[in-house]
Amino acid sequence: MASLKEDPILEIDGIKIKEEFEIDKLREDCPALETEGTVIKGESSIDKVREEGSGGQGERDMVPPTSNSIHRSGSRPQLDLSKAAIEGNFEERDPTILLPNQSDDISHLALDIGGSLIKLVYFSRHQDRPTNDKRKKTVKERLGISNGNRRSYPILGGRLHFVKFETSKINECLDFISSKQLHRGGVDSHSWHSDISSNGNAVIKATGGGAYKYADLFKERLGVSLDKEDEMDCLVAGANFLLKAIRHEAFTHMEGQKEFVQIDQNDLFPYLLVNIGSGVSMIKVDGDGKFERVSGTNVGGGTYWGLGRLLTKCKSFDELLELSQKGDNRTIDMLVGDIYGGMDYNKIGLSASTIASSFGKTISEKKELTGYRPEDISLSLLRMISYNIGQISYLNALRFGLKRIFFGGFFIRGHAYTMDTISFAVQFWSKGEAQAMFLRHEGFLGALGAFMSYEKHGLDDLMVHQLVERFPMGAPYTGGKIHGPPLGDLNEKISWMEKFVQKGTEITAPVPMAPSGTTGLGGFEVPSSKGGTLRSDASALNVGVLHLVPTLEVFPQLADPKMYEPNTIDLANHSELEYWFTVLSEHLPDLVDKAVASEGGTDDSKRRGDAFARAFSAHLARLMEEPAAYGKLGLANLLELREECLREFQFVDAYRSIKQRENEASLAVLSDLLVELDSMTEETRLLTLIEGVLAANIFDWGSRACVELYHKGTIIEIYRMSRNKMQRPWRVDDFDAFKERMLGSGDKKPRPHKRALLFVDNSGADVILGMLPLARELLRRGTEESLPFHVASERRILNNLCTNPPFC
Amino acid sequence: MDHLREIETDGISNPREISRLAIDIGGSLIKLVYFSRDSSDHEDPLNDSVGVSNGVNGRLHFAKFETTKINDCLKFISANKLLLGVKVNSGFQHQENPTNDRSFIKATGGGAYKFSDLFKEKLGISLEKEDEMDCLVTGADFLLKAVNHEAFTYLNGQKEFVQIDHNDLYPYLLVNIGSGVSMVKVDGDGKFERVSGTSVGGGTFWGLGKLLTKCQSFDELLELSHRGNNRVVDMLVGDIYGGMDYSKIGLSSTAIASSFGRAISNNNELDDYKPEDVSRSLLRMISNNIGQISYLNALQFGLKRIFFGGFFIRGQSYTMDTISVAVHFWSKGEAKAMFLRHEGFLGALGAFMSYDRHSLDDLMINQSVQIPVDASCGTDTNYNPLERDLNETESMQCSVYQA
Repeated sequence: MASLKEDPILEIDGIKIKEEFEIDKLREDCPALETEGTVIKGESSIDKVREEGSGGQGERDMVPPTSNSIHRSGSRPQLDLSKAAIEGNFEERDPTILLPNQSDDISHLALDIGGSLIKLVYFSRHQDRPTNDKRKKTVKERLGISNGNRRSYPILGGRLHFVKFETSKINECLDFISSKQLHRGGVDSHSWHSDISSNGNAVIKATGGGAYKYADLFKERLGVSLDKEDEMDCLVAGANFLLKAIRHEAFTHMEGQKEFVQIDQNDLFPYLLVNIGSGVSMIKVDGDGKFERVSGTNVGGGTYWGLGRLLTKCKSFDELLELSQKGDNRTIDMLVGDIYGGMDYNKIGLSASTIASSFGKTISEKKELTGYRPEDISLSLLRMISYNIGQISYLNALRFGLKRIFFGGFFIRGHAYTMDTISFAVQFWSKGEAQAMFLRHEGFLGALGAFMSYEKHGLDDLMVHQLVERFPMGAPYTGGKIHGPPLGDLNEKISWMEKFVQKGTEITAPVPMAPSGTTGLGGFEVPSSKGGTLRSDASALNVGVLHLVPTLEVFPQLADPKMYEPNTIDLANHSELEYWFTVLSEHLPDLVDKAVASEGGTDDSKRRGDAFARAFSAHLARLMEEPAAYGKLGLANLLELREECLREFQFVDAYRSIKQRENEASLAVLSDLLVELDSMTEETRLLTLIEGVLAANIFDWGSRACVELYHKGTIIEIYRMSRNKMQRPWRVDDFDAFKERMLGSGDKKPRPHKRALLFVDNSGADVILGMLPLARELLRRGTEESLPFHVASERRILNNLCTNPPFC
Repeated sequence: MDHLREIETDGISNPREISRLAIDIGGSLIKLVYFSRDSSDHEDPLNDSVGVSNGVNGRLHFAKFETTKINDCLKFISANKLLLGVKVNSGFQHQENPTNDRSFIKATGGGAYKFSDLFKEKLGISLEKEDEMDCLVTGADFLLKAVNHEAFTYLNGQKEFVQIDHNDLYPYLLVNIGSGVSMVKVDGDGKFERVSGTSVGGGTFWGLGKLLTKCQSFDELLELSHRGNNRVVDMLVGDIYGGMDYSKIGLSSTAIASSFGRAISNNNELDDYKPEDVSRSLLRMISNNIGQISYLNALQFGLKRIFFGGFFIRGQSYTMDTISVAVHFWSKGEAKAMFLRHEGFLGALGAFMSYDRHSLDDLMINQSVQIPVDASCGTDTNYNPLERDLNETESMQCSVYQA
């Protein structure tokens, strides 16, 4: 809360005594609180606050606000919104918006066809989680989708998927596109494209050399034209987009340590972008669309793979890469020590283990190729090429005075050793002055850039907070490796999990996956047919599906929204991670019980519960081994992963019944409480109210301590007991300032607050016995409006502060 | 060891019979430089006209061996009585201790450490280690100053000797391509700094080449590369762009986009490729890479001249061409790659010079420039002094008269 602007009112909720209990509190998705109008649509409230700040008239009922913090550039071509309507079910979250008059040139697929790999980025507006919230409709009405004056045009909410294929297997790629109808705007958009199907006019944005080479093939097979976008343009556009729009996209990787870097968008340029594909391009980027290819090298990913294939008979790049992990390059490379008889060459700073000559040792050996381990060869090759790229990149960065070098392209594949080697080279040659940074979506720069080149999707206006990355939680992981298939279907997921449980850890071999063409990146959007191909997935990129939620807004009162870090607990610290790992693991059975109970304890829910438990434990185990597997890991992310996992096994709200019970109990005693409060003096009441807020906050039904407490007495007793324990000073204690602001000091009569914004993130006693009395008090003191603002943890915390709670 | 006793000495102040030997033991090759007294020495009029009392007319010999065949080298040294000079010199270095175990030869390269015991055991001599970079620079400086037409450019098959103005020699970048590559910025006599290097060097070419082609020697591999076509193995810009140039960024369709990148996309195994093509591709990859990194380093320090030395080059026109093209391409013609005729012997020469730096090398410079025809091989562009078989030992390249 330190990052909030100084305002006593806002600080109230910042009394973070509840931090110890927070774990499950954060989880509470939904207050089953049916007080219409108090729990409001986050976004609207923000707009409202803004408007009203400038003198607008507040209304109790949330009408469509007329301004929006994301300004949609009017200069861009706009969607044709006439007769726009929500397609299908109004109950859906972020439903697809039907734009019957929009011409079909909003394609949602872009391709980057490189020498070795084809990268696909596609956008889907598909929704797979129907919710049954009853207020959805009114919210949507409030959002005023059909009210054209709200924003110049809406961005379609949806998902950005990332998939790759080997270029040599381009037919698989074509099949994939065809099966998903991506070239027609996607299957999801049924009706509105049906009339233009296969009339040959569809256009797909494409980049990479293959966009030229395979243009005819696409025409012939899919009846689409490839609209070629310049490769460098795309790379840069893609990189700029990622660095600006995705939080924690960039990271450093030194000596096995991954560290995410928060890039200040205003301090992004200039940088050197090194794209390592088959060959390597080095681009100096000075701004949006301002760049120059300054260098490159022909020793790149293609060299590694090509030479590697010839030398090891590996069948795939990934296989070769995996081999390298078991290699020892000392049998292949001539080290300084080999030349100097085991000594360092100190004078010029070369240690005995420095490679003097890559592959140099094979000169003096009598062995033939077959006498060497493929593992060693692969590692030696990898080191040679990575190091060389690092060195040339550094020299180019130096030349232009660039401190930051971002490495992208499919050579890297999140491979720790590759990144370490490149980082080492940059570090070594720059003497620590320059920094090698990597991108989580490294392989998709070009494809994303091509995607961005569509004129009408409006994605380039996106803000960091509007994209939420989600990982498929259904496929279990253990020990850093994927052990399960990426299954979209719930029943398949469950039955796979059951098999997994049955066989225990026996299942260590990779299970049959989709045809080898896609590596099931992120979205695991693979054709559902299962070929016999076995593949290990050591090199799987940990890229999730980007969920685009245009309605997300940054909470405007943050002192420094850019640097705001919603995670109060960073799990990069291993002991911290271990602690939370233990807490979550121990709590898991209890959670499963509750989840199952929330669904009425049916057999089906039991099966799902077991599957959930198994899947989530597997993810936890994986995260223990590789904390950065899903990007930067904070406690909030971890909790969100759990939530996501629950949702994937279709547990909408595990705490539903408990919350309901608590709400009822709390409401029953509310009037007594209010009477008690009203009998107090002003000053005592104020303190009691705040104590009450804190006390109510400990009602956390995920915490065992609270459950016990609950069994010992009635809710009001517990509440009072807790309140009495809240002795000042609190850990964060702004009460005196608050009191002065509320009651004034001496003769000074304070003016009442015009508006108050209350953050609540729970239900039951927390809200009813804690926040409601406070809101009531504020209103009584002349505050015109007091808006409890539900901080749902459906999204990452930053987003929670902003918006779109699911049940508003 | 009795052969060591056969030296006639003429007095310490006038060691005419000097036959000193210096050795550079690298990771792949051993380079020898030794001096032999010219038989016509006594009749040489120069001797008196210059009026130097301790001058010797003679010849500098250059020889090389593979490091793996170090025993051949040891045999060669004893067979040619190269240690004669050592005994004599031991006299003027340490007169009071003229015993065998005090005798030494100057040596550089990593092997000077590694094989020190072997020399002691087999030949009874110590190796006095000279710093590798010192020797490289001293050797290069000596060659550039003392030997006329030592340096040349090589572009589009045209070899062109460059007259170096001694007063305008520094600074320059010296790139020594041995097993690995060292890049040394030279600012003046004895003033230098190793600024960079790469592990992708001659050892990589040979090592990878050996694994890929089963060639038995470096020279065989080089030979193969002459007849190869790298387009079979490399992915060219045209391969990606369907035969088109990527003109926007100045890449022609024949530019290599990815070395060995073609080996990815078709189903050929190693045996399906001609060793010639593989060798060619490898050579281009490594030469180009060295050229590029060298240029980038030259650029960093504002150096216009890059001299390439070391045994990787071997006067190979294709190698030199590739390096030159790389430097030319990346520098847009601003920097120039230059090669040294005695490319492989920089270190050994430097070690040789270290015997008595102050009196000798000045003299040698003065004298050697007077005999360009003997010292060099003229301007015959087809002459490749080092193109002979690697193990042909007494490859005598240069005569240096000393008055």
